[in-house]
Amino acid sequence: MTEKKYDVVIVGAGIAGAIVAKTIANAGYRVLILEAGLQAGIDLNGNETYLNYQSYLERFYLANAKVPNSPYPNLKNAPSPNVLDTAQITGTTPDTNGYFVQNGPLPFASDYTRTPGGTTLHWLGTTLRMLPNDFKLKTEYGQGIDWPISYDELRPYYEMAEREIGVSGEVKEQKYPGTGKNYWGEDYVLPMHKIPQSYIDKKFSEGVDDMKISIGSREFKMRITSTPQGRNSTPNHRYKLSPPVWDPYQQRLVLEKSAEGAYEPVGSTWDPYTGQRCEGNASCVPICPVQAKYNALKTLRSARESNLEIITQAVASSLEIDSASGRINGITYKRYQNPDSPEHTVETARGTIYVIAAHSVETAKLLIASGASKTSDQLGRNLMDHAVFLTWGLMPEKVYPFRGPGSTSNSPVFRDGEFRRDFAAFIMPIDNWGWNWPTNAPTSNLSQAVNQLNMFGKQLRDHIAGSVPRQLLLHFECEQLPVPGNRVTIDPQYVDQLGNYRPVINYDITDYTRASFEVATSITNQIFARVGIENFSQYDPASPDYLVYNGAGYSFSGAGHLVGTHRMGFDRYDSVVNRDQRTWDHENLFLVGCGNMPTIGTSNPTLTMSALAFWAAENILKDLK
Amino acid sequence: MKKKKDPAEQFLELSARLTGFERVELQGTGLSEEYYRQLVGVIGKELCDELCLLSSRLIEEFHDDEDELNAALRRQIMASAKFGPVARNIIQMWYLGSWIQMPPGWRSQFGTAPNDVTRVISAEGYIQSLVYNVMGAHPPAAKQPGFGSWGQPPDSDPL
Amino acid sequence: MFTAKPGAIRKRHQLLREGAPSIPKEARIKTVKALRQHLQTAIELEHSTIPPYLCALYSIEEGSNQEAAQVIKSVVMEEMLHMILASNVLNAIGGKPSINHPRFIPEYPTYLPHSDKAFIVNLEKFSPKTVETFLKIESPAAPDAPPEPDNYQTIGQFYEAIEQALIELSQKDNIFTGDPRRQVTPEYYYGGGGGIIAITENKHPRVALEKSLAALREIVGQGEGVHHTIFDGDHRLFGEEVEYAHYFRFNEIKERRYYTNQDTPLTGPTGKPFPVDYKKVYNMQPNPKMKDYPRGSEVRQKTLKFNRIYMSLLDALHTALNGRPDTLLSGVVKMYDLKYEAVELMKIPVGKDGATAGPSFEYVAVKGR
Repeated sequence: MTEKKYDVVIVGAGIAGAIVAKTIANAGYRVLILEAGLQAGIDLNGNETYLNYQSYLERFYLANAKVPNSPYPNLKNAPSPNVLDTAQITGTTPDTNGYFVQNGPLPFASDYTRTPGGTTLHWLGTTLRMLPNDFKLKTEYGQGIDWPISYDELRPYYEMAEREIGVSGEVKEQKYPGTGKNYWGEDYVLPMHKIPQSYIDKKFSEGVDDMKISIGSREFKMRITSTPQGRNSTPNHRYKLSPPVWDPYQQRLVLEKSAEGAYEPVGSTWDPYTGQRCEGNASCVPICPVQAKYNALKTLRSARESNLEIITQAVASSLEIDSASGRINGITYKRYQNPDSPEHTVETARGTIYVIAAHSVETAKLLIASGASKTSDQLGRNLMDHAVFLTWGLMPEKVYPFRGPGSTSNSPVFRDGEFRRDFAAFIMPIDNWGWNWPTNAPTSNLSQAVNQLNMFGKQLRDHIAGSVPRQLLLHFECEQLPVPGNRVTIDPQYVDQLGNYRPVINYDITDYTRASFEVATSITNQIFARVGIENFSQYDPASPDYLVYNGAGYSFSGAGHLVGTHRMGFDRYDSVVNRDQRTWDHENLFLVGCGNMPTIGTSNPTLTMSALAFWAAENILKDLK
Repeated sequence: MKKKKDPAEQFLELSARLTGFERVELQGTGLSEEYYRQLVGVIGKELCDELCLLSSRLIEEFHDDEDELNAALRRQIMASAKFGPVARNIIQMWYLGSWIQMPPGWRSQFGTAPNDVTRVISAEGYIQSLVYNVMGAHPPAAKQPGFGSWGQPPDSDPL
Repeated sequence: MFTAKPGAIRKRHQLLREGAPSIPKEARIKTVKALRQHLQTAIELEHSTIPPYLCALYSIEEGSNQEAAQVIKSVVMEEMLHMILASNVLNAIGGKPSINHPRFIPEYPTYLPHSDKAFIVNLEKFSPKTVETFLKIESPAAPDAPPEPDNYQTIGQFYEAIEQALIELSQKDNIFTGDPRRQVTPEYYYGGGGGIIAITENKHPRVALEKSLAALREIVGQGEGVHHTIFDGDHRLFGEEVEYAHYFRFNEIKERRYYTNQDTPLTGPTGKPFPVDYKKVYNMQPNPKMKDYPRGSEVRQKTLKFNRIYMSLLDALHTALNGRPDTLLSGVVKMYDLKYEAVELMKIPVGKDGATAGPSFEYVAVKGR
């Protein structure tokens, strides 16, 4: 095979890679994507796509534990972490049970998916923008670090990301603390109207809207608002923007008003009429059966075919670095034919510009393995996630959970404020799926009723009908600060069957975030007392992520929001990439993905990362001219 | 003339009593025969017949008194060391679409079968899990109720 | 090589009538009142095919006959769209669609409303015989068979009469006097079947006429309503990227072959095999009725439950088409319920030789209406 040279070589066919690939291919350049997952995941013609997706669904149906990665093939040649492998770390040896090698002290409990389309196949789909103060946490509150980009600079790229993902939401309802008048552009609307809020949201809001919450000497007014989401809803006929295109004269991406107007929801990859609306499958994580929820395959599908090549079953293993100039000369990858066999060939992909879009942990790992980006000593460090603290109880009346998208409303009250000097900010989503996350409801309820309460027949039926529909679950997704010791490294002892490194992870939660669990418990108690919710929250000291703060015990979970491992910053000594998303040490190497984010704020990071991917694509296009 | 019911039919009758669902509701899942086969596959035909015969006898004897019947089912089946765990598994099979491994005590006394492992019986079994019907919901990723349905309480019978 | 192929969105192919209208004078619609009646009939006509199509669709076992199920589903979606399009035209000319009255639902087996009674339509499972019936329902019009008044040989002729009346009557007067707020607009409809056309968003009568004719073309072009001549020509209408008229989609099932883009109506489908397995079908007893089952029996109650959901669906549609278009969304929600109930009925054995219950689509009184 002759070695073909591309304008841009990208590692990873998830959302970050797909956005960069589509933007650059549609601007007329030749793009190659190397994807570690299976070819079957990207056969983009109707029938094969349908059958492959059905196989995901079938695998989900048959899984005993329906965890985020349960529908997707776990590849020995490109393994993915699985939350089922998360366990307490005891003694002095790391936990090597799963794909991650966990040094602790706390296990890192989030996952990602190495398959075409990436982790967007099982993301929840929440698409919140970050808040202006999230970009200057140090300046405003003396915590963490500032970004080299401001909210105002990123705003147009947020609009591009909202167009690409297809966001449903009501701008006029999005009122967050610390946002000025210009948070949304004038007259800006989202492509689709909001996803209808759940019956739970309505009942809960009735109980808590405008109630006063006291935390120490501070007082807050509770407020619930609809959540913008990347899933299909009723199109907003006032939305007129067409997809972003590269303007070579202005040297920038432009998002223009289209003459045609009406936004059309993007349906599934196998049939455009399937998934034009969210049908309420209540399974966004781990799989939307109709693809009403955005996934990156939709972006790949709309890229200009003639300019985009995707090589699957190709696991990038190292970057070829020119020792004199620091430029990247190629990406070495291991190509396997048979997913069950470690047999592979070693090949090299060459291009003018290289982009690593392999997800925070894998991108950092690949660079470390290649000896790249060493100057700052920040590569692999500052791993962050939202620490998800859950509280739950029984509402005084039936609210019928286990229906609709995972969450359709949230309280933004604690997303920003002076309190960030003292404890971590958090968003409080209201969950629509009962106690499923903390207790494995309704399976656990049924099992308890049959095996402990000794019920059967009508009595059993009435018991379940009377209790489970009252379940309420609140999340508190708490910000973590960048900490150098929370990091991804590699160790020659730990490799996968292709000989690629497994990620070695050190992880802990600081008191700044732990303090928010205490605050969240107080908020829960105040709300539950007011609404008359019977509190069932309890934290098992044997659960994987159990910790003690101020004498009280708490469990938390990962949010799947992996951020910070190759952060951007102001100079080559404080960060891995610059504000253009280009590595400081390698002129023709760009990184995209949540790893570039210096702090995590209180937004699910995908929308911000997508905005940054457009931002990066624009800078790459400027280079290519 | 009264025809003698076959064990699969008796299994359906028993299932209706154990789950609190009507026979047609269970038949509507299309899984009654499959679940009977699953049960035979784990506990054996002999034990299964014995259970079905016993339940059939109780149902006939107390058919006109619901409370008496339930009391008899509780005493003679649910409280039995032999039949209790089996009955509880039948309930869980219908409600969850899964076979749950029999308790260790039962396994040591009445034997183990290779397929006595916790597992989802089939995709269709999962899709027809009755626990969700009872909650006014549906199994995640199956029997979706349509756009916006979650904004209202579930439809009860329109009458 | 592993190359990504962005899939094309299938183009809709409309069969358009050729030549001048063929409706003889005596069959013409002469008043707005008569036109409204015809459009109400059109709504009933489009609806009357939905229960038979749904029975066939729901009788297909989950996971089997996916191609045939897709065809039937797409046709059903279009029939529903047609109901709404006909209602939009009726609302535009100041009429009031009536959806939930007792005679709205045909009593199966039945002839199609206002047809020449050439064949009977049953509520039946998916079978070769059912596919034959579907082909008859969607059969193109013979050009040499002029229709008698109100006794149309094909649905196409019937719509032709409506089209002509719209043109003629609007030449004399502005007939588009309906409240634009009664129009169902595109945001309330999704999931395929084509586009909603709102008739009187723009108040200009000429625009309204054009839109009405476009709506009727959408109905007729997807359905059967073209001249038989389409069969005799060498029209190339097919191919993977094209959604073609119902008749030809059903013909693929019958002939067990796909059309290729080289095929014509004369050649029939000559492409790759179209897989059909009539054994993977629930054995539903034809034309079930509640009265078939003993009073108070569980299966009778369950059939009643199905019919109540069906009634509430018609109620939602009626409300949606009479000034509350947003109600259409709750109607769609009832469609899902309807399916799950119907499929459950089809798994319940009721007769000898393993025949099962099924959805009976009967009118039942619902309290509080």
